[in-house]
Amino acid sequence: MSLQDLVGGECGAPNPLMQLLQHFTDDKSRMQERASSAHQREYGASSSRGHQQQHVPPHQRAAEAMLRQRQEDLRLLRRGIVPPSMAGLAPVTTQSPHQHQPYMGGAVNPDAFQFDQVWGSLNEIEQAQWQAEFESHEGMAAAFETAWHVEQHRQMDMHMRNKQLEQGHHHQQQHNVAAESASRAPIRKAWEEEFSKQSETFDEFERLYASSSGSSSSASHQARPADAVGSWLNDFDEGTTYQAPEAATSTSAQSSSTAAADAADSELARTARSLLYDVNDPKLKNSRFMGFLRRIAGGELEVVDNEVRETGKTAAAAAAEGSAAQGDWAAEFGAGAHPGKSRDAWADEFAPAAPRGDVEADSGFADWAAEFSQKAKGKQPAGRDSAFDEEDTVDLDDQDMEWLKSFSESDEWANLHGAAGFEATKSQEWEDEFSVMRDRLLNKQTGQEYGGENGLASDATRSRTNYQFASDNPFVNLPNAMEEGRKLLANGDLAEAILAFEAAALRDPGSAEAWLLIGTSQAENEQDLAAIAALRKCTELDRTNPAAWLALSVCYTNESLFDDAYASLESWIDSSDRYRHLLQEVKTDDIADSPESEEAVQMFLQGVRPVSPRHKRICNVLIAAALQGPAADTGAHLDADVQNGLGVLFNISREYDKAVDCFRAALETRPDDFNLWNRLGATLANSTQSEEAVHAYFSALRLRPGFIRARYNLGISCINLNAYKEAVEHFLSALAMQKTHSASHSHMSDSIWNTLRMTAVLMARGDLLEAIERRDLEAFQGQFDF
Amino acid sequence: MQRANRVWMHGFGHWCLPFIHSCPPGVHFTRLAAIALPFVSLCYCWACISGYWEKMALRGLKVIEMAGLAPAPFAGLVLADFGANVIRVDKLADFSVDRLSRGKQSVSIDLKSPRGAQAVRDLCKNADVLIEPFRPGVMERLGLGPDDLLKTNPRLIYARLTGYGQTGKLAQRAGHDINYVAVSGVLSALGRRHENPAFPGNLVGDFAGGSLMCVIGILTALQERARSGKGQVIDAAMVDGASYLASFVYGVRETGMWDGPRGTNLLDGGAPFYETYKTKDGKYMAVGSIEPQFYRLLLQGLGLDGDSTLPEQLDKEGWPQLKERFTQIFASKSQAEWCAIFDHTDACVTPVNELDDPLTDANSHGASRGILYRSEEGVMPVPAPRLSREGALDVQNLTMPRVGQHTVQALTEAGISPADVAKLLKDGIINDASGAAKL
Repeated sequence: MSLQDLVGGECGAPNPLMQLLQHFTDDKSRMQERASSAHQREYGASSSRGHQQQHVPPHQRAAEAMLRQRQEDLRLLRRGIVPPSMAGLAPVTTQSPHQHQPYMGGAVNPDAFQFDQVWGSLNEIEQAQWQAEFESHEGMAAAFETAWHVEQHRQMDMHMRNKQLEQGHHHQQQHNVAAESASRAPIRKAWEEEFSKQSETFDEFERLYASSSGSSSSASHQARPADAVGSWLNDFDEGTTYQAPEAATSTSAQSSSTAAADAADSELARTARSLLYDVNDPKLKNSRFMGFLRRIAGGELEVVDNEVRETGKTAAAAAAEGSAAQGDWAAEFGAGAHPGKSRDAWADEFAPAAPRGDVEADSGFADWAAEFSQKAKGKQPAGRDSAFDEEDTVDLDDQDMEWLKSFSESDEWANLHGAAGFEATKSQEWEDEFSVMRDRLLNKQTGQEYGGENGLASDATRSRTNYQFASDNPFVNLPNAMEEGRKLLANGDLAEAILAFEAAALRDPGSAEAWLLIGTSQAENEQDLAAIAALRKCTELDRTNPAAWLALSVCYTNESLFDDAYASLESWIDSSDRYRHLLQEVKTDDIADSPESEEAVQMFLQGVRPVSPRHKRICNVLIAAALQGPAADTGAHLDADVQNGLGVLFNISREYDKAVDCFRAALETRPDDFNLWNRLGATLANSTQSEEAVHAYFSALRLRPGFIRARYNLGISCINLNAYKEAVEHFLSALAMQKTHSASHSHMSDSIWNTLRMTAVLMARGDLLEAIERRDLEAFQGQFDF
Repeated sequence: MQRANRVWMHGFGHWCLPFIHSCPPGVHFTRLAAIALPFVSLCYCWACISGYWEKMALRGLKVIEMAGLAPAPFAGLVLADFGANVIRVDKLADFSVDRLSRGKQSVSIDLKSPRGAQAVRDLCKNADVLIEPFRPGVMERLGLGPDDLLKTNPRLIYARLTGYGQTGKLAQRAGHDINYVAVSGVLSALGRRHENPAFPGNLVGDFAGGSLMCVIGILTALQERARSGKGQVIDAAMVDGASYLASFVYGVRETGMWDGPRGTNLLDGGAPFYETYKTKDGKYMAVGSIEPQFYRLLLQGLGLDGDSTLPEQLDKEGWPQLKERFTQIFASKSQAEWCAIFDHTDACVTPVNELDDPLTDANSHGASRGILYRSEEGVMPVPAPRLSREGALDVQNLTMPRVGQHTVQALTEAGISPADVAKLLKDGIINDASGAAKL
């Protein structure tokens, strides 16, 4: 970890140092608090101050003294004074290498449960990390100072944002796109999150298209010349209409000879891909325009010398779609009339509907054209009349649909009307339809943004299927964001690492690895839904990524989406060369052949969740896999992944004892797997063995101090052990760690806030509920140590 | 009238007041918008202003729904979709089979415990509507009868959604949709000639005669409450609802339109021009060419135009012969081919689409209206009807709550003191799903 990383130099990013400082300053008082409250909490008469001191190893006591010193230093620093102790920083000499404690859950006598030990070990974890940092950096004083400045900067930044917010309303009068991008109000920024990405890609696509079409005016990106815009739209319309495959074959040869055009086209294809990726609206997704984009993205079409051409690289599968589609679509596309053409171009998308197509003639195209024209006109849907809505609409116009505006007002539009056989009478229908769609789009946007930003609307975001990127990602221009993310992850800075991985995924949306890392990190970050979205992306890109499937099964299990969890486990087995055959081979005779519907009825009538045949089948396959064992060259006597999968499966069926055995077995092979420790802990906790769970969580946190989920789980176990204050502190710490660099975007988990609410109630602290409702972390400052 | 000022934000019951101090600094502040008026500066919560919550015809309405199987959840769903804050009261359970809980909250309470029942009474104290699906007397035994609840909250609209109703011969009997529709007499009119009565799934009793009639009752009572300030008890029986639904059938019997035996009438599969026909590819077309001008178009499309051997349209004697001809002709082409022929005519001939077609078939009418959406939880219809100003929510991103997901939140918001909620939690009378550890 460089000093830069440590203090989070990236424009106000959260810095690990600050968090660390936060923790150890907290911990000291936490220890005192614990000592004084130990008796009241009835965790054994031995939980006295003296007893605790007996348990503190010498190095820790020395460290404690140092922590006290650091706390004092920090206080001075906050007042802008460099403390004398920092003039010549001496490295800590009392540190001993940290030893991983093997899991000893079975040996722990519940009656003798010692919170002190537990706190002590947490202390150790954080302290060890700090010491490591400390020893490796001479310039600590500078770091402290920078940290302080960053904090100040952050506060000022927030202040500025609030100011900007007030100014935000004036923006609605400004239709200058360039000016807007220069000074965006935060609210607008948030709104833009979804759309700007899309519109930028649109712009990019437009530009590339124009340049590969040889349009002279295409260079001026900002100006968005109508002719350039019209040109590719025309191309889309005309090119796809009468480009014969014979020509395609010849042009494909021709195009390969022109390297420059190739490069531009592949860039175009990339942009098209990215655009496709960004468009989430199913209706738009299914539109013919998107089909056109898909073909460009897939390399089926290319743009050479102002013409759209087929490359001949069509999907082989399309051929199978057969003759039914051919005739009608050929007819629909008029002059083309070549069977191959329609098969290649449209069969994939339209084959099922094709025979009806000739009557519909081009309505699909007119459809999206109408949609866009509607967007460009910015027609207000009824009932949206607040000032904010106006701004909203302007936002859409300016950010998203500027080019369409110019397009719709140009002659091309009229031509298109004619060309597409666009009936004026239908126009109103389509407009209506569009306004509905736009409404939906808008609502979806606000809904997602709403949940995404502060995580308030948990319900509104649970089912989102597309991953929501953070706004103003500081890593977005970093070329090696992936490396950086790994580094941050290794250093325990989960929130920053996720941003880095997101930047990597934005740079290369086709990187399964980036998506996998986002997914696993988000799971670690107690954000299962984000993790699911990312992991799904990963599995879409790489169907045989075992890690992604296994991680998905865990997330789905957490979200009680059990069928999806089963499917993920099946896919995981299927992705393993070693175990795939078991899916076929394993006998399922012993499984009662009860149909799924029977299960559903049983569920419906008795309100019980029976163990389904599917569950049993997967279970048998996994047990067979466990018996088969890992490949000899691994040197392990059992496959931890298989045990892990079984553990997840037994969690679904609530066979917690079995699940515990599985995770323990897996940990024998991989004692350093913090995820396994946490899963063991969660399983123990859910089977009401909270005290043992705490030990497992600590093992996880020892290996991964920034493990938000383990910390959250630890808090839950504290609740179950009636240690509410400690629970709250764990939740608040987790939330504080989740809060990323800018106040405008934070990734605090709803689940943590919700559990915090429950804890506040259990503590009879109704006064905290309001702050919880507001997601106001600052309100807890001073009341709790975190 | 505190409630008049307050806006329920769907899904988590957050509220804000439209004054500057209502949304204090902190994370919320970033989502505030200041609106300068001549004398006062108002500060609205972002979500309220953005219009997201504004598109809610029933916003501000608090509905308590006692968990049921199908009719009560759908009634609650309709209210929730249109913006009501619906809190489903679940038993102490791990999971719910309710698939109609999109956008609702869930509280998990042991109703058999007197303290649990008290918690429900507390929930109902400031509620507008209660929907309960139990047999008559069950709520009373739990201490949650109309007398108990209306005493503390006279404005409460107490909707009792049952099959047989609160009174009558079968009131205490168990039953299901099919029984209710049967008992109402309506089922006898549905089905093919010479065959057993056929019922359209559980749509008529559970949902049309049950849920929707119940919702009508609730909305009607709300309208009345605006005048009287008083709630009332709604006895929504599916038998009654199904019967009422069949008013037309009863009404037109006198006109001769529906006076024959089952399956021989104009609209019950008797007439060849109001019928479904199998196509060559095993799919179906629906024909509804009743009016003469539409019927002519049907004949044209079938290639029977000017066929003098054809019986007259309204000649009942000729209907079997006509139907046979139509059946043969429809079987000669695929559904898609028939669609190509009829899609752009007023013959009233349409494909019988599969359930998912409105989503997957871009050419379908349903797709062009966007009547279905897909989420993690599967394919679902979007709410209807569409209102021009404030209608239903955009439901696509709403999800089903886990059982007990909102227990603590809803109970504290209902005014139960945190100390009392804590006691209930500790004594296992309520459960909150927030306490589950994550793998």
